This record gives sequence, structure tokens and C-alpha cells, in this order.
Amino acid sequence: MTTQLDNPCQDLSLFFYKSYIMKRIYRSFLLCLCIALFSVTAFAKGVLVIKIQPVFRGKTLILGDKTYVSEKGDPMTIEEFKCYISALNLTGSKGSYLIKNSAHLINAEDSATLTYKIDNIPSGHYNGLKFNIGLDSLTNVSGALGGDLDPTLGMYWAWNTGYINAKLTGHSNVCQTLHNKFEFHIGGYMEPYVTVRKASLQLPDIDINDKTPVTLTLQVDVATWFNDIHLFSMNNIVTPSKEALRIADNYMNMFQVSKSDESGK
Amino acid sequence: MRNRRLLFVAFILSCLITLFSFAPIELKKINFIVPKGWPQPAYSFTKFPLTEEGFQLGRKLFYDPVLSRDGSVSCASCHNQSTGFTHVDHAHSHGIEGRTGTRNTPALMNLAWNKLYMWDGAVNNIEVQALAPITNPIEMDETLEHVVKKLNSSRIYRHMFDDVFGDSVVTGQHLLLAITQFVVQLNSYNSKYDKHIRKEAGGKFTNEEEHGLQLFRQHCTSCHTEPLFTNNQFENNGLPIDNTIHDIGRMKVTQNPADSLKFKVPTLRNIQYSAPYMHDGRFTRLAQVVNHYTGGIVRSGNLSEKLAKPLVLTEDEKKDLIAFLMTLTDREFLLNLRYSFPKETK
Ligand code: HEC
Ligand code: HEC
Repeated sequence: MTTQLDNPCQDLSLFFYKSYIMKRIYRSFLLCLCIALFSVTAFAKGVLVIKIQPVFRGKTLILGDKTYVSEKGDPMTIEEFKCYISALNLTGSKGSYLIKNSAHLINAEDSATLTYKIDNIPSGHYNGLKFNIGLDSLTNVSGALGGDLDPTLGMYWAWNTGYINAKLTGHSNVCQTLHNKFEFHIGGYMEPYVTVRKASLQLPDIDINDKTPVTLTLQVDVATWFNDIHLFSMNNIVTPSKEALRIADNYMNMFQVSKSDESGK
Repeated sequence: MRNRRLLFVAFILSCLITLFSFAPIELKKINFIVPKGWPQPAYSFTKFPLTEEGFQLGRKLFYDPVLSRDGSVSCASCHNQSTGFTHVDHAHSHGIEGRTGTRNTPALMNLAWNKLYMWDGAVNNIEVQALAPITNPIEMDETLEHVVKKLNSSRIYRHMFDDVFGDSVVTGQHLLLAITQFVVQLNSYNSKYDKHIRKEAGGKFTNEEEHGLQLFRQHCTSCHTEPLFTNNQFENNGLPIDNTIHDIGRMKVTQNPADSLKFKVPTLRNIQYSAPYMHDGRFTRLAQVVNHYTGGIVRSGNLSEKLAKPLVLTEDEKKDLIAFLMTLTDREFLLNLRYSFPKETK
């Protein structure tokens, strides 16, 4: 290409300008690399995946048609199971690590909610997992929240504000109600009807690192809800009440944790 | 050469333009005014700062019957601006399909200074208050989920939500926060009384009004505390129980018998226009209210001790007290076009 260089100096200056920019880019790239390397070694983070498995007395929970029998002998089918877990806290050799904003809604019907992935956990060995079953009182007075706490998710009471911590509904022919329905909406954050419960689980020793995510299986057994209750006399709990406290105490121990082996079922 | 330079400049410019078109638009911030001498509001504006765009979106929603199941009832159907955002002439609010509720619609104003809402305080945060009317079968009879769905199918709403929240998908949270932006700005502080306190033009009290203020401060401020004219507490002011509705008030929420028949102390601002009065709208005239306090109080176990001493007023004193209550009318508020039906379509 024959070009008429009316002013060769200009092209030259452009060249220098360009190379100056190149240098700048190169330098900042190096800087970024250093920072990245440093942060990887100094604050290595890992990923924990919690697989949630709703079960009835150890067997995978099937919603709808399958008939289950409670401890007290009441036959039933289960339509809906939803439950909040929140304030997850991992304990281990280096102390404990509270996962911020970790409220998560488990919905047995929605498989996407049954995998809960937590990023950015400081690497290390952990052997304990604590969390709230339900939501603390601060969350209950914090107005309109989003994500898993959005009031469109059917876990919010409009007539008397506050969250439903856990919900279990179904049918049993011992219930003398419309369509033999039983309905447990367990919530309440004010004394004397505080229904949030703490779960504290021993973990198989897990090693969180930046290489491979760790997967835990969290079984949640809804059969616990019916311990020592008769569906004939207790089948409709939809307000903060003594009955709600009783169910919350029942399901306090519904969670069990195990490490998933990769070959796993 | 010149061309090249031009090209370079053009390139940089176009880069900048694309950059800016992706950056969120700047929203117009609104400063919440705390009138001189007033306490700080209980509601915190830090979670979601007030903006003009948010206010206008909330205003549109407040006047839009899309929030009800059959599109017949909006918030404004019951909360009418010209009466201080209460339901004119209705002791019990009419909702969808003409169904009637059991409670009188309260006036809406200065809500950011409240802590609990509704006559029994069942709602603990203004942001979630709208859930109650939307889902109440005798009011709007909708579900929040379905309202959100309807709004998501409207291009105009998706646009407005995108402007305000940077998210064109309408969520329950964003819907509630938008309504909140509107209702917390319904503030009334320019009545004759306020001008009197601030010693401004138009605030000169007549002798009757001045005397009424003194009587009020003697007998009423313990509950209807200035400047908000409520102490934000739940009290039993001695109304005889209504045997048809049997509303137990605050006890419904706390389940504590000590709270039986206690109701939220309502503000008295714009009281001239917000008849009928009391949680069940049993009185239609202020004279009846005053007669209740002088002669109608039922001395049950839960009667507030602030009313323990019987109140005796002469006819003239009653008139002066009412004359004072009229000075709480704030025409700037009742006629403020900023709060009225949004005529301009956006
Ligand atoms: C059918 C009539 C009706 C409709 C429609 C209605 N309200 Fe109300 N509103 C009421 C009644 C009645 C109360 C008092 C309820 C109670 O105490 O239980 C009330 C209470 C309130 C309060 C609490 C005031 C206070 O001081 O405690 C606010 C805020 C409010 N409404 C806002 C709204 C908004 C926003 C909408 C639209 C989403 C709306 N209302 C729709 C009748 C209505
Ligand atoms: C013990 C506290 C207390 C005192 C003292 C008191 N009030 Fe009230 N007032 C209330 C309560 C509570 C209500 C609402 C009661 C209800 O609806 O059941 C109310 C309601 C009212 C209403 C109706 C407001 C509305 O929007 O419906 C007016 C008007 C009123 N009071 C005026 C007065 C006047 C005038 C005095 C002084 C003579 C006074 N009050 C003293 C507690 C009090």
C-alpha cells in the first residue's frame, strides 16, 4: 500500500502512544495476576453443596398419592412440605463461620430448592453444622424482603405479619375437616409463641478447599412432625399458638446429615 | 491522517456512550422532611432510599385496581385523599363485590412515625402492610403471586419497575417497596395548629381555639400526644363492646387478656374530615366523640388509667375543644395534587 505521509511525525507519535498504552495494560495485568495469586493463597475459599432430601421415616418422601402411617397409627397422604433454614454456621478446627444471608426455603415440590450451594467458605476442616429451623425475629420485623424471603412464596402471613417457618399439609381420613385436610402452618416470632428452633448437627469431617466442592446430604424427616399427636384432634394449626410450639418441638430433630460419596445413590 | 484521528475519537466516544447506556439511570433522590420539633421517624429509609421514580410508581399502584382480583377495587377506593385517605361515610369498609369488613378505614398520614399498623397492630412494618388488603377476601381478594403475574404482563409496569429497581421482572418485594414509597410520603404538617406552633402566618388562634388547645392538653394529650396526636400505644378508651362484631382488638394479636379491647390510638390530624370515628366507625360527629369521653365511658377492668378520672366539661368547653380539633385540618395535604390520582400517563 502506498501511503502519502503528509506528516510522518504523527504516525510515530501514535506508535509511541500505542506502545505506552500496551505497557500500561501489561503492567496492570501483572498487578492483577499478583493480587489474584496472593488472594488465592492467603484466603483460599471453597464450595459446599448441601443436597436436601425430604423423607418419611428414612424413605424418600413422595407427595400426593402415597399413603404413610404416623407413629400413632393415623394414615395420611402429604400434599405440601416447605421449610426455612437460616443462619447456617459451620464449626471446625479454626473456629466457626457464619454464612451471611443464608436463609433458604426448602420446597419438597421444587427440586431446584433441594440443592443449596454455598460459595466462598474459608478453606479448612469442619465437623459441625448449626442452623435455625425457621427465621429469627429480626427477619420477621424487617419488612419486605427478597429472594427466598419474598412474600410471594406462600410463607408469609398477611393478616398478622410474620413468616411461616415451616408448612406441612395433607389429607387423612381421621380428620373430620373439609376434604379430610390437615394443615400445619408453623410460625410465630413473639413471646410466648416463638417457633424458630435450632439444629446442631455433627458432620463427618469435611475438608473445604478451593479444588473440589464438598457435598453433604441433609435428610429431613417429616414423620417427626406427627410424634405423639393424633390427627383426629390436632389437624389445623395456622396461627402462632401452643399447638404450633408443640409441632415445632416435634420437628426440631427432623434433620440428619451425611457426607455424600461421589458414587452415591 | 486527520481521518484516523477522527476515527480514534469517534471510537472512544462510542465506547463511552455504550458504557453509559449500560450504567443504571440516575434516580431523583427525595429528602424525607422531618418537620421542626418532630421526633425522628421509626421507619428507616436506608434500606431503600426514597426516589421520585419510586414515589410515582407507588402512586400509580395505589390508584390501580389491578391489585384486586376482579380489577374493581384500588387502595384509593377505601382510602380517599379528600378525607385524609379514609373511607367517606363508611363505618365498615366496602371491598370487592361490595363485601363489608368489620373495621373502619383509618386515615393514612405520617405513617413513617408509626411502629405498628392496623387498629390492633397486627402489621409490624409498613412495607408489608399492603399484603393485608390485597389478600383479604373482603377487601381485594387477590394473591400477591397473581398480582405480580399481572404486573409482569404489563409493559408499562415492567418499564417502571426496571427504572426504579434495575430489574424488569416484578417481584413481591419490589411491589411492596414501591407502594411503601408512596404511603410513607403522605405527610401532614401544615394545619392551622402547626402554623400556630411555628408562629407562622395563618396560625393565629381564636380565643375558642386557644382555650380548646388548653383543654386538649389537659385531658387528651396523654394518648393523642403532640405533634403526631398519637402516642403509638394501644389503649382502651372505654367504648362499650359491640356485641355483633365482638372485636377484641390488640388481644387478637398478642393473645394476652390484658390487651382485650385495646385499640391503636389514632392520630387526630384532619379529624374534621375522617368521620366516621373509632375502630368500628360508631360515631359520625365529633360532638358524639366528646360526649363519649365526658359521659359514655364504660369502666371495665381494662380501661386506661389515663381516663380513670371522670371528665366533666361544660357545653362551652366542649365547643372550644371541637374548635381546636378543627385546627388540625391541613388543606395543603388534603388537596395536594402530588398525592392525587396520577393523570399523566407515563
Ligand atoms: C376494602 C377497603 C380497603 C382497601 C381496598 C384498602 N384498605 Fe387499607 N385499610 C382498610 C381498613 C379497614 C384498615 C384497618 C384494618 C384493621 O385495622 O384491621 C386499613 C388499614 C390500612 C393501613 C394502616 C393504617 C394505620 O394507621 O394502621 C394502611 C397503611 C393501609 N390500609 C394502606 C392500604 C393500601 C396501600 C391499600 C392498597 C394496597 C389499601 N390500604 C387497601 C381498608 C382498605
Ligand atoms: C386513654 C387514652 C386516650 C385518651 C386520654 C383520649 N383518647 Fe381519644 N382515642 C383513644 C383510642 C384508643 C381511640 C380509638 C378507640 C377505638 O377505636 O376503639 C381514640 C379515638 C379518638 C377519636 C376518633 C379518631 C378516629 O380517627 O376514629 C377522637 C376524635 C378522639 N379519640 C378524641 C379524643 C379527645 C378529644 C380526647 C380528650 C377529651 C381523647 N380522645 C382522649 C385513646 C384516648
